[in-house]
This record gives sequence, C-alpha cells and structure tokens, in this order.
Amino acid sequence: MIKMDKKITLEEIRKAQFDILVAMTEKSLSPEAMQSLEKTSQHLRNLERLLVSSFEKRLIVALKNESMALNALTEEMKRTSEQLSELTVTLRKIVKITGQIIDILELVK
Amino acid sequence: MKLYYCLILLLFLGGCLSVSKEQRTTVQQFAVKAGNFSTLPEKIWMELADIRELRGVYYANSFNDPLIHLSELDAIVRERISNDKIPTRVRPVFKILENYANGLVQLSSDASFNANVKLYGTFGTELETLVGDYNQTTEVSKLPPGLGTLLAETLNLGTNAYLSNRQSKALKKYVNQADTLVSCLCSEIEKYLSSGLLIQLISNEDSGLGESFRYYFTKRMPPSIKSERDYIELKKRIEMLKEFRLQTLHAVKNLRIAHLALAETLNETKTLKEMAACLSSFYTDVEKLYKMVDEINKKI
Repeated sequence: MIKMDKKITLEEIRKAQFDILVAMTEKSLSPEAMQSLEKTSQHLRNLERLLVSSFEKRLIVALKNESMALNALTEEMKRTSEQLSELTVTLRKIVKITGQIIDILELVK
Repeated sequence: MKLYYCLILLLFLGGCLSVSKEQRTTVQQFAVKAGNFSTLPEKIWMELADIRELRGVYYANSFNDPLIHLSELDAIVRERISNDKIPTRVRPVFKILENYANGLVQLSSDASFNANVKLYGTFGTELETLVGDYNQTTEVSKLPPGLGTLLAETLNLGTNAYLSNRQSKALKKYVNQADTLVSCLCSEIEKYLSSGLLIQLISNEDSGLGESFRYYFTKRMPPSIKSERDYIELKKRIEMLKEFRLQTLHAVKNLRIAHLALAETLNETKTLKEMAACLSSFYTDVEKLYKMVDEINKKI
C-alpha cells in the first residue's frame, strides 16, 4: 500500500486511509480482518500525527532562527529605549538650571 | 544675555522638534492596535488544535476494538498537550512586536507628557517665589515687577518645550529605528503565514475532518444529529481558519505600510491625512480579525 523507503506524504496517508475505509465496507469481512484494518488505520493515523508534528517543528524552527537574526536589531531597540531613561537625568539637570538662573539674576542686579 | 539666548534656543528647538498632540494620539492608537494584533496570529494554532481534537474523538469512536479506541483517545490527549505548547514557542516573535507597541504607548502617552508639564510647573512657581524673595531682600536694583512671573512662565515654557522635545526626539528615533525592526518582523510573520507547511497543516485538517467523519459514519449508522451538527460546525471552523490566515496575512502587510507611514509622518515627509488611509486599512484588518476570533470563541 505505502512504500516506506521513500518520504511519505500526507496525501499518501489520506489515500491509504480511504482504501481502508472502502475495505471496511465489505460485508463479508471477518472480525479478525476488521481488527487488522482498524490497526492499520490507527498506525496510519499515528504516522499522520508524526508528519504533522514534524511540519509544526519545522515551522517553529524557521520562525525562531529568523527571530535570532533579529536579536541585533532588538538590542538596538533596547539601547533606544534606554535613552528614554535619560529623560530622568534631564529632569535632575533642570533643577541645576534653575539654580544657575538665580545666579545669573544675581549678576544682573 | 546668555540666559536670553538659552531661552530663545530652547523655544526654537521646541518649535522645530516637538510632536503635536494629534501625532501623539495617532502614534498611541497605532501602538494599541499593533499590540492587540500581535496576540492574534497564535489563534491559528489554538484553532487547529481544537479542530484536530474534536475530529479525533469521532475517529476514535469508529473503532470496534475497545483497546484501539482507548489508545486513540490517549493519542488525542498526547497530541493536545504537544499542540498547546506551540503558541508559547511561537510567541517570542510576536512578543517583540507587542513589547515595541507597549514602549510606543508609554512614550506617546499623555500621562507622560502631562506629568512633565506638571513637574515643570512647580519649577516655575519655585522660581517666581525665589524672585519675589530676592526683590524683598535686595534694596538696590530690584528686579522689574513681573519679571519673576515672566521668567517663571518662560522657564516653564522653555523647559516644557525642551523636555517635550527630548520626548519627541526619543519618540521619533524610536519609531524610525523600529521601522527596520517592524519591517523585518512583518516579513518574517508573512513568510510564516504564507508558508506551504502551514497551508498544508490547515488543508490536512480539512481533508482529515472528512476522513474522520467518514470512518465514524461508516461504523455508526445511522449517525446522530449531534454528530452531523458537529461535522457542519467543524467544517465552518476550517473555512474560518483559512480566512483567518489570509486576513492575518493581509493585516501584517498593512501593519508594515502603516508603520512606515507613521515614521514618515513623524519625520514630516507625510501629512497626518496621507497617513490616515494607511492606518485605517490596518485598523480595519485588526477589527475584522477580532470579529473572527469572537466567532471562533462562540463556537468553542
């Protein structure tokens, strides 16, 4: 039904499941034959799960690898964010500026 | 004289670099929408996992052998546990976008600007009091009446302009630098959403749904009305999921355009009016996605 020496695809699994379904509708099917068809179907379902899981992993890996390439940019973003905290430093400086203005005012007199 | 030049320079810089209230509001609205959007793409995985689990139950119920039936139910549980971990593994990429949006909200917030205005207001009052005290204690060359108030006001204006300037500069720099980041993120998310693997995963659930129910209907004749309703419901959810992927892809493309427009508006190479259309397309996409998520949640 399926050649296991090559990479199996989801479509092939689907076709095989369809064949099993057709076989299950045979009226003259013995209980043993039915059980082995069910087992085969379950194995195919497990194979499908593995294939789906590998697709998911490949997608996640692709996304994560690329996000690693973004690390440099993210670092740059962090540095820019840090500049925001400089506003606090500026606030402190303003207090000094106020003091300087008073000094200058004293000179004006 | 130095003071005079300083004040003029501060006011001049303020005029040149400050970000208008309207611009800040626009940045804020954009940031909120972008933040909201960043949580949406992971819904694809959650929805896929739900559909997979429900169709799996019908498939498991098609088995006559109780051992196979039970082991199939166990496999559904294992698969679900594994599927539930996917959003967490994918999230970091979307989290960058969310964090950026949060920073943008903070930086453009009225609260932040108003807090500064309030703070500098006290500097002005302090100065006025000091000038008043000076005039009281100095016999000769009193400062002209009203100078304290004038300087207090000017200082207040100057410092507001200066600091709002710093904030404006930071906001502009933040958005400009982030444009490369947002562009990279969007292209990465676009690739992921249009990936053949993701499309195959969704279409596999579509055909797998038909297959699972064919097994169930073959073995459990006549099928219950509930099973038929479940089939119709799941079929609709698959269709919704396909549409959701396309809509998310559309939103990502518009997010990139909107962010560029936002940066251009802050750099004054684009007007707010010109930017409005770009932002509006992105906002409409996000609203559509939210409606879809609501629909999906109702069905669960």
